[in-house]
Amino acid sequence: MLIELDGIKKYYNSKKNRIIVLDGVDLKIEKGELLAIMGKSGCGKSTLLHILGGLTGINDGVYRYRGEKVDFESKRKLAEFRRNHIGFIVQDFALIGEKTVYDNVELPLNARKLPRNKREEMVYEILNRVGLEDKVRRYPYELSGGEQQRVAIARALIHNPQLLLADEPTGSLDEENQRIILNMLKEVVKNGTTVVLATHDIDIAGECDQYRYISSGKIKEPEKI
Amino acid sequence: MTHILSEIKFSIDRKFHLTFLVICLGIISTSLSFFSINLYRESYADVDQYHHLYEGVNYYMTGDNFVGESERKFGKDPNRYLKLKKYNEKMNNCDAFMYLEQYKQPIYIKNYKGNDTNLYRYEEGDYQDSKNVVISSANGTEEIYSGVKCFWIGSNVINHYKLEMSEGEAFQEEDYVWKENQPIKIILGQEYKKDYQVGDKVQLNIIMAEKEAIIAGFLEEGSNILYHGQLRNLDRYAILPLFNISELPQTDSQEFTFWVLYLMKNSGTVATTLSPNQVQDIIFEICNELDIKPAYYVGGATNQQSSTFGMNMDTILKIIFTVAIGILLFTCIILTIYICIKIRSNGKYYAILLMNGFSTMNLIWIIMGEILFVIAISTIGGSVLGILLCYLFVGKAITIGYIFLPAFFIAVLPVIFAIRKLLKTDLCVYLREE
Repeated sequence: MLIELDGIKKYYNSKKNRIIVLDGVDLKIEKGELLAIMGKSGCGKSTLLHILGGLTGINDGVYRYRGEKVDFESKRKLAEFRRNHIGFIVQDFALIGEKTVYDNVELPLNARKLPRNKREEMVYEILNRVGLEDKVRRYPYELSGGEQQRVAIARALIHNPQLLLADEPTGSLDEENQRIILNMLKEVVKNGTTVVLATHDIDIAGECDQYRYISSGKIKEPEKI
Repeated sequence: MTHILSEIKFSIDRKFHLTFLVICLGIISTSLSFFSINLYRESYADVDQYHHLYEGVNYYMTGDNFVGESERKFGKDPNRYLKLKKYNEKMNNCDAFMYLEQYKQPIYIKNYKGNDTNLYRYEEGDYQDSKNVVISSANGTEEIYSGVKCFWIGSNVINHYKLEMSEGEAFQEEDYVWKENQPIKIILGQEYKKDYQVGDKVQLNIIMAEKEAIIAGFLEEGSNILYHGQLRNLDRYAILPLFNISELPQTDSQEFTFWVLYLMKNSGTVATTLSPNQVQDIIFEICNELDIKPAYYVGGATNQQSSTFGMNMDTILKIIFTVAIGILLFTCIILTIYICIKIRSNGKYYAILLMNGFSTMNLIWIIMGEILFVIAISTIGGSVLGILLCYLFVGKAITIGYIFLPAFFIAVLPVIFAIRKLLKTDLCVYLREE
């Protein structure tokens, strides 16, 4: 078992009231699985992915990664957890506009003490895998939406994460590019990486190994939808 | 560390116009606060310079504030001489302190045969000009005189400093009385002794008038008086009486001589156990009574009136200090606002860094690096400009080390604010598209 969530609660306190986003989420994810998390906008899909990736803390519950409890109290340990195990892709690609494709893809390697030539080798290798080796010195605004998402995937995979978290990765793309990205994600899963994908598109979810549905802050089993 | 530095550079480059603006403001405010601190320090340095405690008694230098316009204005006052004379009487008769008339002013001796060491500005090294000074006499002929160092003293000075004579006699009461067309007495320091004798007559030019002087005696070697906060050895000095004038001036030239003489008599030293501010208050009262504006000042008093600014020194110092603090606060606030804007506009960028393995501490270092960069450039630029301002207006920069004081104060608030703001901000909101 790669991931075990047990009674995860997450809420935000506004000035007037408390907004409960996740209200006791229980979830198990196997290694090498392609899992879709479905739900309406604002139901907490992104928040769940951010918790899985150690980007945001929890208010209650236990998160176990490979059987070990994730320590949300230590920001240093969380950063280390993200650095070693997690890759992220999001709907708007989250590329830094002022950096080239090369610099964007290299970003996760910067936090690691790798020699420059090793980093360069890894960047070219991953860009070759996503078919963008000829766009190395381009800026994101010079690329199409599909190409930008491929850059984002390259960046998310460059450090060989065990868990790839994709938040609406095809939301901004046309059908052709949706298909390309989905195939890429399937390829990633074949190579042993676990992918958790948040989407509100039933067709995309249908392409995944499994899917879960978030409603009223809880995970619902597929048969209960 | 390299990746942090590279991200600091990247963050500075983003919205560089904003960074540039803040750096410019930083340079201006750092230089102004540095300048203000130096001006403040300089004011108190002056205070220390003219305040001296000797054998349990405070010695404060006093002087007039007739500078520029106020000098011209007072010079045109028909009662200027009488006002100064009355002021002098009140100072000498004041029960609260002892007033010592002592004034350092060179005199000119015809056919001087003494040492060069006695010449005016010998110690400063530029005494050559004092050696042969051409002065036109009353009948129009040009005569060669030599300028020598001289202390002019009132009748109580010799007793007060317990000055002893090695030969001849000290001034008597009548020697302090100005008598037109009559020789005056002069006392000389030890270094004159081998070239002059008691009873010798010397031709002097003092206060633009020729006067014959008889040498009354020589001071003991090592005689000292306290002047402007320092003990002055009198071995190389001539001593003249600061005359009391009972008669009224008959001619314009006589009125001028008397006026100058009283300007000298009134720039003396107060010996007292009172504080400088208390003495200044007494002098304010005397000057108000006699309508002497601006009032005489007391060295070391912070309530003295500045001739330049026309207000109390205490007020000026408070204004300078307030301005310095105000400038610092202003820069501090501007930098905090700048950091606030930067954190808000960089929110997504920070979120991207976080999701790509950077830690919160890395982000704090990036923000702190940016603040330190702004502060460093402002400090370097500000110190150059500040030192320039100091040399321009104060003549020197007292303490260059003070440049780090504004820099430190400017940095503290933005750094604390930035860290708090960053820790409180949920950067994940920048990654949501829901």
